[in-house]
Amino acid sequence: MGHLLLMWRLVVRDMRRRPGEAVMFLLAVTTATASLTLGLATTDAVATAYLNTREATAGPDIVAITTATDPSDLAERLAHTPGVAAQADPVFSFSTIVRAHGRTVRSAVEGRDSAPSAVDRPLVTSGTWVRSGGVVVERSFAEELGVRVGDRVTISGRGYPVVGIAISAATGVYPRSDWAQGPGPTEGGGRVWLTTADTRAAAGDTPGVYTIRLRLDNPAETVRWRATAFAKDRRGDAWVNTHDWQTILDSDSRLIKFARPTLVIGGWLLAAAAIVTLAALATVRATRDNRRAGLLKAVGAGPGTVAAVLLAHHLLLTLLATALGLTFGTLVAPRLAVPSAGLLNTASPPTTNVVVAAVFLAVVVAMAGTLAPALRAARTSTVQALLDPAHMLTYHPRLTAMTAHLPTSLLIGVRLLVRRPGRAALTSVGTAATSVMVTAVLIFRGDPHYGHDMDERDFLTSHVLLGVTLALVAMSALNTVFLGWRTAVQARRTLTITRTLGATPGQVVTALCAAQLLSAVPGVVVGVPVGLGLYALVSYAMSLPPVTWLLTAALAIPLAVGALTALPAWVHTRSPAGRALNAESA
Amino acid sequence: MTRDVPLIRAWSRRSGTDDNPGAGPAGHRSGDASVPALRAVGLSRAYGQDESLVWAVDGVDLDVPAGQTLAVTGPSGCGKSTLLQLLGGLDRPTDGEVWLGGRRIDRLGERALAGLRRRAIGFVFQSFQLMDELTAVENVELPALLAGASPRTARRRAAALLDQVGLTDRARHLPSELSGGQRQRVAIARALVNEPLVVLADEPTGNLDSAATQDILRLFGELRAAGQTLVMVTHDERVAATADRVVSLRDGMLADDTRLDGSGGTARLGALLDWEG
Amino acid sequence: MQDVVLALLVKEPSHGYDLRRRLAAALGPLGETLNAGQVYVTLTRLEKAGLVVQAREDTPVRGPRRKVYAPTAAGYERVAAWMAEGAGPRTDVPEFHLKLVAAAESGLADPLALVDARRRELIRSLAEAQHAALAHDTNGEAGLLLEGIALRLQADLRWLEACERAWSARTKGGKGGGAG
Repeated sequence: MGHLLLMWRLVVRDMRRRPGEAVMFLLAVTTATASLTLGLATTDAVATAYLNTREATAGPDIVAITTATDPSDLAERLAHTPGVAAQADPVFSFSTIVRAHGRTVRSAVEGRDSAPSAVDRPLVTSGTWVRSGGVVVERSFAEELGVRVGDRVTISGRGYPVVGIAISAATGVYPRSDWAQGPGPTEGGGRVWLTTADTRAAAGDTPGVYTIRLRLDNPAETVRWRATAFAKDRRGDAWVNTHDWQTILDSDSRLIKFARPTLVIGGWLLAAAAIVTLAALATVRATRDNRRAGLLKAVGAGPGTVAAVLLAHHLLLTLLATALGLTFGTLVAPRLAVPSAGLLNTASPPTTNVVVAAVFLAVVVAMAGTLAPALRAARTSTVQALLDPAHMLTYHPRLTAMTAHLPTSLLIGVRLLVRRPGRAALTSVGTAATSVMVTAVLIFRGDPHYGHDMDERDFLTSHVLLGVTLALVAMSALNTVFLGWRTAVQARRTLTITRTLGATPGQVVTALCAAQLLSAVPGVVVGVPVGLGLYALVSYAMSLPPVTWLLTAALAIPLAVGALTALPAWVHTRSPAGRALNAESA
Repeated sequence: MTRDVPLIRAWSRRSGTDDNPGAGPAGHRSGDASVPALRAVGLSRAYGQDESLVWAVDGVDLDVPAGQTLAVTGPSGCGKSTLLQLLGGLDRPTDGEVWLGGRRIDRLGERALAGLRRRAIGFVFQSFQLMDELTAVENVELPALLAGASPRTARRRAAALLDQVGLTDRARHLPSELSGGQRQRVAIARALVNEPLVVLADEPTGNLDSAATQDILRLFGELRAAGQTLVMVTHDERVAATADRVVSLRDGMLADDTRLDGSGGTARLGALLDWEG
Repeated sequence: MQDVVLALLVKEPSHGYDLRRRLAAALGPLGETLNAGQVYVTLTRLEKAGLVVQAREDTPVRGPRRKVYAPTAAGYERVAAWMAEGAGPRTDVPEFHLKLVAAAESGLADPLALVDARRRELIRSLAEAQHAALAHDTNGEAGLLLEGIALRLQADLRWLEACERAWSARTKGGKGGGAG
């Protein structure tokens, strides 16, 4: 009880005293978990939405489409196949061009009547169901066309007012909902409903198809059922095509197929960046935590208690960040699942898998960044911890000799780098993560198909890719500024002495930039090939972007790192040298 | 001490049994004169290796009877801080033994030592070592909470101690809002909250001006009157002179051991006045 | 001064000129004020008091003849008493300094033991001053007096520390310093 009170008190006071650090921690871990959750939850979101819609609209298990002019034979044959739970009357539909707001898009026009069907009862989400002279537009299609109830659309040259918007689980969502095209390759298109009479009138001479929708006793047995129903000896002369509900779900999910790995990989890359942030924060905390550990030990806390107190802070923030990331991911996932408009969306609680993955990621990130320093602090001898930690710096005679001929700035830069190899590694990791994502964006943009000939899927991928990359770049920029500032602070004494020996502030700033820039180079060297590899791994076809693009990026990234370091370094060197020396002893 | 009513009366002796579990072997709290509160036997601590081996503490034998105030003096670098750390279990001896209240502690594990520090030893440092983010009263109750006292008990004891060190009106201030002397008084209250067998103070007045030093010395005087065993390391002769006993350390070895009479007479000083002249 | 001269003679019988040289060496710049006459006057007084006797007369190659004095039994006693006697809270830095020099030269006492004894004496006095200061209001006139006494005693104690360092280095030849 006392221990808990103590921990709680220390954690809360610490956060209140240094809200900036807590916010940075939260931001880093939340971004990573949110991205991962989003990536994992979108698939689930599509599946859930599809199943919801199927439930609400009595969606079919099997859809049979035939070009036969009289579908009654087929209908009868199917009705007599064992395992059918319900069967709707054959529905006539044809594929045509629909125009709205000046856009022309292919669409299936389906003839339906007001009487509810046994299978597939589209759910009207606004307006009313079909009536003579009025059209109902499928919702994802309506969204694509930008039409609402009351607008007019032109079907086969005749205008109809939109009387309703509805959703259905009987086809894929736009652009995979035009199933009236008959044999041959299928174009993307939407789906609208008219009354049967209106449909016949609109179709005129255009050949149409009949669609028979069924529900089975056992929806899981669709493959076996189809094999029975369409066994060789039972197949008729007419062209018949069948879809099962799994195909529909798959077609809906395919839309997010590429966005998903982007988010998941992006999640892990953001996690890498978050580890960098946390490790950088840990360097800030190290001195303070050390002292705190020594103090707690002096008043009788055991190593376990000390570690617990130090880790409680991180653990609490990690939990909070995980919760935030999960909530954000879960709430946004349905929106990101493109076919959203065509399906019934309800933000469902994240599945166990998603929660486990998010918690795992957050804990990995938090522990990677904080565990080692906290344990080190807990283990240090009390006496040492209470004294101010004077860093034992190793002297590298060979390096000193080697760098002696370099220009002043570079010389100081290299020596700074060698003094803090851990910091250099952090910069490298952060830069590598950024390079991976930037490379991916470049490949995507470099694709010859980019800009035109893009379908919905590519647009989504484009947005997701850009979003994740921007988040990563922002985080890396923050990390770079932060690390640059820390380097400047910790090297203050050295740099100030350098200045009293005659180095100009400019040289000092350049030195700091050089140190960061040098550590960024390995990150880029590793990051770009990894980016290419990962892209090739998750996409079926990849065309290499122009080499000049990649080279430009490979140059720009380290330069940006250098430039971002310049800011804190410059701020730092503005104060007169004497003041910095005095401040050190204070 | 000529103060009529000591501010701190019978500081801890009486309440030794109730909420102070595991303080050590039974009997030590009653001030059993036969068992020294603290004992060092051949205590040594070396740093470095081979040629650069340096004995910071070199074969120190020391008995501190319960209730004694002992000052350890010596030039800087004589090993007096190391000796204090060895006595308090903050550091491990290279050789020799440390006994606290009749129990040998130099071979104890880190956990047991931590338990000992929280129940039987109170530390006072030169640089106070208060938690910056905790208020005065929270700093004082920290060891009590660590020792498993209920929050209410801890607060009650902390408040009482702050009252005794004269800081009741500063209880809710952060250390940064207190003067050096006030901070050290908070630190002393913190050292006492678990009613320790010994209080170990390392240069307790090293960072204080003379007025604050006098305050702290008065407080120590009250502790002494209450029978608290106190070992302090100081390079300030005026601080050392307030103890019952002063030992000097030279090159890690005990060089001198002087018992002082704190009865409050001024017989010696009278000799300064030359009535004949 | 009589005690010092007497103690120097304990080491070996000596004449006035030599005594003056040894005193001047121990006193450094302060010894410059010491003239030969003062030493001879002291020797004469000691002789009258029966503490020293003229042992022989040296005839150097050049210069005047020199009377060589040696301490008597009473002289030895007097020196031993002087060595053992404490100075109380009062301090006379040159006197104690010469006592240490004489003790070392004569071998009658260990300078370090003298330092320790002196320190005990001083710290006991300081303890009185401190306890008195803590027990009374230090703002009044009495407080000022106590503060002055305490500061002086503290200064003496610090000087003793320096003495101890110097003498222990001279006697032991030094041992490696510790870390604190």
